Amino acid sequence: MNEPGQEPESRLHEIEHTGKPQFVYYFSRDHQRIFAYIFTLLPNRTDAEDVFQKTSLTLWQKFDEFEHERDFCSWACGIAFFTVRNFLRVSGRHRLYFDDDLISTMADERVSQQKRSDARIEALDHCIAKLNNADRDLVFRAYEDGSSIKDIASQMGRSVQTLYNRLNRIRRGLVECVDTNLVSPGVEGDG
Amino acid sequence: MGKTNQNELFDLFGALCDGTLSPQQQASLEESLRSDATARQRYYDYVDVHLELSNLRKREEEFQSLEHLRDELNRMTQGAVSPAETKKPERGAVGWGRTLLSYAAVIAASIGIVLAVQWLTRIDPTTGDSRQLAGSSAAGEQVEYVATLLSSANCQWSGEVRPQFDGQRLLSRDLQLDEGLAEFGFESGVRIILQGPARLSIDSSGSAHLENGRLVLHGHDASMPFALHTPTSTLLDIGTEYGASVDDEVTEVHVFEGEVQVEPRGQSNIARQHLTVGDAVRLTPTATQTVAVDETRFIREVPKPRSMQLASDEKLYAYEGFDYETATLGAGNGGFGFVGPWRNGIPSDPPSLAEMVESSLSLRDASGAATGGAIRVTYGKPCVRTIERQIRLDTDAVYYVSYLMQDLSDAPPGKSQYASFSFRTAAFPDSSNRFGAAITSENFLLSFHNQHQLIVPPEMATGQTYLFVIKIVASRKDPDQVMVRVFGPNETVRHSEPMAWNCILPPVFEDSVYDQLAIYAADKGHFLVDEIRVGPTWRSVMNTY
Repeated sequence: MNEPGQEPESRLHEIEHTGKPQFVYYFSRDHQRIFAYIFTLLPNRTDAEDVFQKTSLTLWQKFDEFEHERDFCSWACGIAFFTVRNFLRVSGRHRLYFDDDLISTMADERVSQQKRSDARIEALDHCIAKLNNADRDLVFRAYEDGSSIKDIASQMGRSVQTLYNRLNRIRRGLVECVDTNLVSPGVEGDG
Repeated sequence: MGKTNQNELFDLFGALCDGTLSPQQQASLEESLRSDATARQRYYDYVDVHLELSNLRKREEEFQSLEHLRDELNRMTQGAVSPAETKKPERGAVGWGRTLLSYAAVIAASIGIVLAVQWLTRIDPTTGDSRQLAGSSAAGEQVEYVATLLSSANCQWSGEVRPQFDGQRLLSRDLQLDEGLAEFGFESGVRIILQGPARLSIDSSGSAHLENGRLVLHGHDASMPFALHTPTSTLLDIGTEYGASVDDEVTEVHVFEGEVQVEPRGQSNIARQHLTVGDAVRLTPTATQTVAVDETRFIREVPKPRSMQLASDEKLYAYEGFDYETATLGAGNGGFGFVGPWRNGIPSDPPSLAEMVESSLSLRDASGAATGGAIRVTYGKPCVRTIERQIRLDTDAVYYVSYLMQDLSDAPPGKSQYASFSFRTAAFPDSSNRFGAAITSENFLLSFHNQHQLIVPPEMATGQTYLFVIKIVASRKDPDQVMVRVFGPNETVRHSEPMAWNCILPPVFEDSVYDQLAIYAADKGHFLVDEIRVGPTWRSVMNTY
């Protein structure tokens, strides 16, 4: 039982605990990598967000156990992996999910290839900057909350499938642009 | 992977990301990923692109949000709208692309930290350095203060923006000084002594327009050249002290130290030239004339007080020297400027359990005029007291707080041994608003103001007393700002406010009223605290050091 007046200080202690600014640093640096890892294993937007939120809280609660000589992202992905597995176990598999073996394989590969992924994302900025206005406009609309592809298709007078195809073409074009950039950055950079 | 297979594979990736994958396609995709490492690689690449495109909207909105904030600030500072019409900036709407950040903010909010702030300023715990993230500085600068009114003498201001007190932080704005002397310190390190009558428009931390009147600019070697624009020229200082005057379309430049580069500006036909110490020129739109350098035309410094003797309006708001002859602080009710005694958490809590120590702290031997003893703050024995003169961020004012603190924590590395000195509102703990400074477990300085936290040097030695100064710049319409300076035993405490602070926290819009002073130590923390002062000026809280 806390003494009177102890409760506010306990809360203050939690807020001010000296390890937490470090957590904020690591988390703000790596949260997109962690989300990408989760989404790879669980490629459903809503589910991935749910697992990401659960993972984040677990990371916060367990941060005292984190050994600082380790890589934070790897540690966080380890916790995310178990959170994904637990989510799949309790979710009843009412959606389409990858099987356990494939998830384990991809989980290992995703962590081990983080540097490759980082390099590609860095190169991707250059490719995104080169999107034409029409493609950029479609990307903005498609990724904005509350706008379904059906709505956008209706507004643009196009079929839904046409827009899906265009989006896929844009994403594929960006994947291939990054391939080119990484092979011959000078050519792309000069372009 | 053949060409056809690759087309099919990308179609499957697209359907997966768009949420249109059929069970048959799911089976096909899973088989490809299970059996083909190259297909998995392409899948990872595709997911990265998909998620980065989500961020495209986020980046755009964050940029627009900062642009909006800058516009609001400009509107307010230029007086284009009345205060009643102004409203504090709100963050943009959160789209799917912002979902990640919003989730991060949810997590962060639960621990009292907003990561949106961290997006702009990150703390590297391994070095204690804070730095701007690439891509954020240009937008971030739009909301930053660019200068401080360091000191003034007999100033009469007119125009829409009138600095009210020394120590006031300034956004970019137009200043009309009718008479008197004003010393501005820019974030770039340059100082300007403005001699009234004069009209100066501050553009940024690195440039200003002198529209008429006189000034003396003190640059330094390490800073980028400060661009002073006049109607006919732009003057770039190179480790310089120079005087400049503008009268209608005539500019004069007198170089006292270093060098000045003169660049033609506007319709001016004057030639670019390089002036060195002892040079002086008169510049008109069509000609350059050499004149004799004349130091007497310019006042090179604002007269500084020769002692720490306080003026009648510099009295302390509150003081506590812990002059108690008891074993614990208990319900100590000494000092002045407080409402009620010390407590162990919030005002309704029992008396503080913090122990008293007999000897006062002092920054150096024989320095200061410490009285009484000091308090020993450990975990579970916090000290909280209500100050009578509230620190109000809903008004235009500046406040200074000073105190001595010594870290005696000796727990092994990795153990939490942390102490903070902060101000909260009366609504604590329902409100988490607060500001203050702390010594971290690693002995660095942690400064905080609501969601903003920065860890910076110096690394403070255990068993050594340090003098902390917290400056709070409150503004009714502009953002409020907290700055922290720490002095060690070998540092000189000057009579006037320094230009350099250990930590300048980002500006924050808020109207809180702070009246709860709280001193708190974490788990293994063991700290001594003494000589708490709250006052209206630098000298009022520093005159005994």
